[in-house]
Amino acid sequence: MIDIREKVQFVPHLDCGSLILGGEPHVIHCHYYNHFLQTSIEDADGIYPAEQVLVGTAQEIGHSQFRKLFQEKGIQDERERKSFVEVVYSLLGMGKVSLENVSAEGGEISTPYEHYAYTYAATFPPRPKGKRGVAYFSQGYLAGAIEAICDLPLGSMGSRQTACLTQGDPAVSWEFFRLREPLPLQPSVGEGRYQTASLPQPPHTRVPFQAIRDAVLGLPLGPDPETGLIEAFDVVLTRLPGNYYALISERHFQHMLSAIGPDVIPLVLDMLVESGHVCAFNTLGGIMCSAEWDAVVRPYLDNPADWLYGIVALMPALGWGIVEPLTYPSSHSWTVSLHNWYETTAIAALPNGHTLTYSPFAEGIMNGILALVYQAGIAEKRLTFDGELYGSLFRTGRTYQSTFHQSRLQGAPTDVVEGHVAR
Amino acid sequence: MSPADPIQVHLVRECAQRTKYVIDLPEPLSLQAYQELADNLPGILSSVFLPSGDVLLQIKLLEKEGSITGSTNSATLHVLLTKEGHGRLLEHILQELRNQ
Repeated sequence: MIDIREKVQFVPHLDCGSLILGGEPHVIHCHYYNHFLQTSIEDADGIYPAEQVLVGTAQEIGHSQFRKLFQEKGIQDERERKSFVEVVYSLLGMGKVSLENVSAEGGEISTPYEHYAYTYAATFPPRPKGKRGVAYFSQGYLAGAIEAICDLPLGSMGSRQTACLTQGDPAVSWEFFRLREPLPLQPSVGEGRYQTASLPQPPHTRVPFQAIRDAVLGLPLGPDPETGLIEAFDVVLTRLPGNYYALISERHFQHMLSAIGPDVIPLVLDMLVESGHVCAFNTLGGIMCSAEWDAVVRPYLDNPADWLYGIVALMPALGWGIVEPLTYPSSHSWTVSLHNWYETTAIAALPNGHTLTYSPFAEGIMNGILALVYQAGIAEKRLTFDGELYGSLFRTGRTYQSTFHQSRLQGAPTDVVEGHVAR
Repeated sequence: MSPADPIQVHLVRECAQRTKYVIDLPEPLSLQAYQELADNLPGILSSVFLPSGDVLLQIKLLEKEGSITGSTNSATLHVLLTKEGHGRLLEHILQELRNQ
C-alpha cells in the first residue's frame, strides 16, 4: 500500500511562483501575521458577522480542495479520505487531528495541537472566557473537508468551536452538525486568474534568483511528526491556501464598507498595510536572520540592496508569486513588478467583482523590507526583533510607504508597486 | 563575555516560549565539529546537502530543549531554546564551543 504522504505533495509551478495542492495555491506565513490579520478581522464582529467570513471562507476552500484531491487521486473509501485529510492538515502546519469521530451527520474533533490556538496561547495573554476560541480556519476547513469526504454539498455542515487552549482548556475542540438549509457559500477560486512569468535575474547583483528559489524549495520545511506544527525561522509557519488570506481581506473590506460607508476605507486599508509590516518584520525578518539564509543567500550579499534582492528572490518558494525588480534599490525608492501575486490573482477571479483595487498587504511588505534594510540596518548589525524595534520602524517613525503604479485589480496586465520614503 | 571574546552571543527574539540567540564564531564549524558538538551536548544531528555543496546542519537537543542550526559555510550558529531557565543550557553550549 502506498503511504498517503507520498501522494500528498505541494507541486511548485515555477512559472507562476506558486505551490499547488488540490488546485489551491499555498503560501507560507508565520503565526504573527496569521494572528494579526485574524484578530483585526475578528475585532469587527460587532459591526458584521466576522466569524462567518473567517469560518465560511475556510469551508469553501476545504470543500473545493478535497473534492478535487479525492477526484485527482481516485480516493473513494471514506476511511482513506479521512486519513488523507489528516495528512494534508499537518502538511499545512495546522497541527494534528483525527477524523475518526465524524460522519455525514457531523461529530467532534479535538486536538492539543492546532496552529492558531497553540501559538496564541504561547505568545499572547489569555483570552477572556466568553470570547470564542481562535481556531476559525480549522473549524471551516475541517467542515468543508467533512463535506467532501461524505460527498455532501458545500455549506451543508455547520460547526462551532467548543474548547480552546487560549482559554485554559487542555485541547481545541469543534462540533460539526448537518444543517437543514445550506450556508450560502461559493466554491473556491482555485488557481484564480493566474499569470506566468520568467524568473528575473537583475543586473548589477550577484544574487542568483533561480539558485536561491531552487535551494529554498528544497529545504525541509515539513511539520513536526508529533505536533503537525512547522517551526522554522524563529517563528511557527503555516502553508495555508493563499485564497484564504486574500478572500478574508477582501470580504472584510466589503463588509466594513457596506456597514460603515466610505469613511472606513482608510482604516481598513491601513490595517491591511500593517499586516504586511507584521509579516515583513516577523516572517521575512526571521528568514533574513536564519541559518538557511546564512547558508543559501548570504554568500551573495555584497551591499544592502542585495538583501532586498535576496529576500524577493525566495518569494516564489514561499508561493507568493514572482517579484521582478524594475529599478536598482536605494534607501529612497525601489520599484518592482509583481507577477501572479497570490492576493491579486485570487481577488481578480472573484465572480461577483471586488472592492480592493490593489494589494495593501504588498505595500506593507515593500515598506517592511525597505525599513529592515535601510532603517534598521539588518545588513550591518545584529537586530533584536522585539516590540521596541517594531515600534521604531512602523509606529513612531514610519519612514516608508508604497504606491501601486499599476494594479491588476484595476485592469492592468500586472502589478507594479514602488516603495519609497514617505512623502 | 567581553567584546574581545572570539565567541559573540546576541539575543534575536523571544516568542512563543522560545528564545533565539545567534552565536558568532571565529570561523564556520566543520561537519566533524558539528558531530562532536551533538555528541557532547547531547543532541541529534541532521543535515541537508545544498545545491552549492555546502551543508545545512541542525542539532536537536534532547528533551525538546531546543535546537542549534548552522551550516558549513557560515560562522554563525542559530540557537533556539524552548525551556524556562535556559540560561544554563546556553552557557553549556558556549562551554562546549570553547572546548572545541
